[in-house]
Amino acid sequence: METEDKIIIKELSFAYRRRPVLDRVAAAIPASMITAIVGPSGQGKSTLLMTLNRLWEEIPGAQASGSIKIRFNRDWIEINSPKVDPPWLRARVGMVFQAPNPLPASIYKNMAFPLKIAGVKNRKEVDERVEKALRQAFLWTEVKDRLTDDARTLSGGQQQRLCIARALILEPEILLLDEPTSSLDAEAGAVIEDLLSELKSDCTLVMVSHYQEQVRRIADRVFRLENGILKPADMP
Amino acid sequence: MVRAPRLRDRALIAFSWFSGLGLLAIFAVVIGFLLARGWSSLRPELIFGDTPPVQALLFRQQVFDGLFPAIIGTLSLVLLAMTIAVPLGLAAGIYMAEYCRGSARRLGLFFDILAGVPSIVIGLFGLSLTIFLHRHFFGRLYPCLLVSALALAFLVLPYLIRSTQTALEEIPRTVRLSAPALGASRLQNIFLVLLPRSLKGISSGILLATGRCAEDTAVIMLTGVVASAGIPRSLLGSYEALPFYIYYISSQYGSRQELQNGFGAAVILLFVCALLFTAALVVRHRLAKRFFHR
Repeated sequence: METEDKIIIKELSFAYRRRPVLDRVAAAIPASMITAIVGPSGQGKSTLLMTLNRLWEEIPGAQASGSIKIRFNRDWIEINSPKVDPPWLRARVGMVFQAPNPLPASIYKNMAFPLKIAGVKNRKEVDERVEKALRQAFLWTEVKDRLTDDARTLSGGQQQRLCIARALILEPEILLLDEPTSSLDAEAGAVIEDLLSELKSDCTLVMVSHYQEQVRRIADRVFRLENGILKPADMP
Repeated sequence: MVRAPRLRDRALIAFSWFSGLGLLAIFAVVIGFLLARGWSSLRPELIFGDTPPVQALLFRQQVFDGLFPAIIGTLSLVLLAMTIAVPLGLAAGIYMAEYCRGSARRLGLFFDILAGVPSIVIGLFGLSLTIFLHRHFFGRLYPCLLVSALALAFLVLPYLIRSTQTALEEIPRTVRLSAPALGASRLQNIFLVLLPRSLKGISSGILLATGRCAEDTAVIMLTGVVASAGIPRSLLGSYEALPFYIYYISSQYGSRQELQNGFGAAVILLFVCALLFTAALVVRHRLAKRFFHR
């Protein structure tokens, strides 16, 4: 049913330095669920994620065409329209990368960074939202006494949860996750999986994953991307 | 099992060590030689002459037979040239790394060629331009501190542009995309993430450019420096500078003591450079601290 969909992709094509990567991709991604995108390496899964928040525009040599509509509240918005401001879109469609990428700054500064960009200056509000997002990412108890420490001193799993918390602080409606556990050990990966399962009640998650077991454990819908074509797939 | 390094690897490691130590040794010999020859002349009289140092430092009395005007001239020249060159160099470097696409990238080749232009040619260009402006537009304009600073800024601009561009382009893509993924605009990404991340590379370029401004003689001898001018009073006035004093003394010294003073001036120039480098490093450290911590 269309009203339950959050993202509708039509005729989406993508090329990097004139080499075709996605070929007229179409899909409907449901709201408040975890949708997994699987498929062999090098097929453009990460690229597909970057088309959903127009992050591809930051990559020289990339070109995309087609339609992506996202439902924000009750309004469908064509995100590729020139009227849509990419920073506005990206604040609502958060993204977490394969490898944790904290800024070379303190844990607190990393968390407050998206708010600084968004122009939130009230220190009390910033402190409250930092705490809330860190709690959401199951990280508050581990870092509350060391917020001024360099974020890069955290373990890999903690850094990835910090990056998820940093994306959550703006309360995005959609969170894109590019293999969020691939650089972590099994224990840290399990914590992230629990976290993602909790998050889907608040936001729509689109995740690229290589791990079939992980997809089976947490995904609600699965799409397979191969040879530039995206197709619904059965649960692995 | 750890494999023992092959002969070729060992040779490369040995060569690297040899090169590094060789460079250090050359540096130590040059500094040692200058200190050995110039140390004995390092007395207050070399800097202040007959003028009481406090009076000279407070600019209450002119120094006629000491290096104080040349030290002030060098500092003024370097600060003025860097004030002109750094914003331009940073802006052009940011443009090259972040905005310049397609055939406009060939501009990089122009900057590389500019970096290879001998400083005497830049000096001649500065002099010719001054003469042209004097004849046709500004009759009061002669070779002066401002013209020298502009010519020096032009000389060091390619280093600043290329070091800024390289430092920005070396940032990995994941870091480059982290702020835009959080809703940062391109300008916010540049000023809040990319520039702080490339601070080390950029400041290395600034240090190199500062050193070049402090030591260059060919540019300034055609554009405004003189042997005796006192403390620079205005941007349009002549001035003295340490590298020119060293050049002048070494080519025309009349006594052994004068030559000794030339070596003393070289040691002082090294101190001035060290002072400028320390100031640049302190600024970098402060900026990094401001960005990195709560």
